[in-house]
Amino acid sequence: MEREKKQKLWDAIIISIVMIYILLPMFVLFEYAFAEVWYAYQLFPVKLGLKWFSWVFKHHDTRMAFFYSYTLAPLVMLATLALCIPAGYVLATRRNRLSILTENLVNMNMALPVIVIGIGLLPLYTRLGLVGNYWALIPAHMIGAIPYTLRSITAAFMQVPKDLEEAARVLGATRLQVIRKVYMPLTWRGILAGGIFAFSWSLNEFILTLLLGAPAIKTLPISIYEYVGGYYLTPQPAAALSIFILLPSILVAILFERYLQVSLGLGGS
Amino acid sequence: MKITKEDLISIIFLLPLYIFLIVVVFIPLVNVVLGSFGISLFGEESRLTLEGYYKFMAPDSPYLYSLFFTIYISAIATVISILAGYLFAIYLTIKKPPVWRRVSTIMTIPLFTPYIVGAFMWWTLLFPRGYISLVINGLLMRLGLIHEPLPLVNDPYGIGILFGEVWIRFVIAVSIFYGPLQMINPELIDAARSLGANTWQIITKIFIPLTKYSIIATSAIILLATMAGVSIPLVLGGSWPQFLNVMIYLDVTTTFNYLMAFTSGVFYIIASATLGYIFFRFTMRRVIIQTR
Repeated sequence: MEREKKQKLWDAIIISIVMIYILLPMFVLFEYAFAEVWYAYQLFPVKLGLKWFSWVFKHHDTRMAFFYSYTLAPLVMLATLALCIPAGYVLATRRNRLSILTENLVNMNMALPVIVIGIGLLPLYTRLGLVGNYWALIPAHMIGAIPYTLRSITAAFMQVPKDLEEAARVLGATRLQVIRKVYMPLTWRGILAGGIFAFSWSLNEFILTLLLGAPAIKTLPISIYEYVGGYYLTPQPAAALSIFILLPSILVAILFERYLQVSLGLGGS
Repeated sequence: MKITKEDLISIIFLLPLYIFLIVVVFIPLVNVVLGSFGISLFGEESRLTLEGYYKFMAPDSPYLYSLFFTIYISAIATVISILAGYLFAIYLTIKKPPVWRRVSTIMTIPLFTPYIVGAFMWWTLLFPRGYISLVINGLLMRLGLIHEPLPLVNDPYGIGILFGEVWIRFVIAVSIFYGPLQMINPELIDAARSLGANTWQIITKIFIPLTKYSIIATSAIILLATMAGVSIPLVLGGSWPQFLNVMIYLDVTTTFNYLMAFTSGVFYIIASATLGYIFFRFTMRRVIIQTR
């Protein structure tokens, strides 16, 4: 009994330290976002309020950033899924040389520094007149999302028993019917997870948007960077803007943990 | 060789992915490699030159120094994250703390936090009036180790970058390690315990050998990601030395020195491709089996 109590105390201490480490930066972010008055020599803000949120919504630049970020993300998600679902199906069901080569190529993609692809794309985009073009940012955002989405979808397809497809085919189902009636119901979790990955990747994408979109198109991360980087530093609006990409992120984390229980299932089950 | 209907379907299903990879990844890469020799695919004028490479390899080259700085800081961040992440994952596996189930979601937040926001949050903690800066500098000054506050962010030692990177990579390490550790048969641990093994022996004789591939591959993934990420060194790094990717960014946007940007890009590709090849080639398939 005594031992169990001691163990519980230790668990509480260790978990608390880790949680504080994870949450402390977020706590400070919220302080900045809600601080209306905060003197330099004081540890905590004197007055809290929503001043910076209304400030953010009053400015045209930041309002547009919301629009760009939250319309690009679903488009990127759809485009990534459209590429990855057929590819993932092939990679999972036909384990031939082509599949392995494809997997390696996509994995290599993950190892490439994004900035290098960015500076290689920049002259191409300049030549085609696509710099600062809204639609041209979709493929740029997909580069980083594809490896994760593809892996999640491939894994989902792999968990489908092969006999099921064969049985359906023997009974006369077309390939499309096999996909719709056999694979979709069994793989939607993995596909949804892959889609959410693409969505949140697009929300987070920074350097390619900065290179290929700015200054005409500024997403939320670019706006945040403008307030933080460079020589003039105004943490409050940056903090208020950050909340708007952090909250969806937390929502996604909860969604993954509670309902999808895929790949990142951290001790949930 | 005869192409069967199956092959044809595979090709059709993979075609969009390949077109995407060729246009958005392969052509830009070729452009960077050719550009480093002065050959321009899309620009106006081309002239074959090795000037970029001479400048990069010069003994007092800022680019070379920057490459070493990038690898050095990324390696430190990787070692810290892997060690801390592995130990924490083992702690969760052995002790199975009941409270963990209720708070584990919090742990996934950094995975979904945009790097730029993560970097900014750490900046607010590390700048001279930030909480961590006040605590660390206060402690060091009271101990008499330093006489004036140490800059913890935008500093020449890369401390700020380390703080920002480890916060995200630690969580990644825990989340990757946790899966394979759960796959280990708990009877092995009970058997070892009843034969008198202590926790340290269980870790070194059971956990590490059974998860060594995932340790190597996770280290590779984290090292590569740390080297490639731009947001954190851009916001938390000092004015000098800088990460190579920040140098590339500045070359392209402020001085328009495409030749040096492309040359640095080639070295960057070589560094990450070598690392990526070594690790992915020997470990990836096993890791997929282990983590699934």
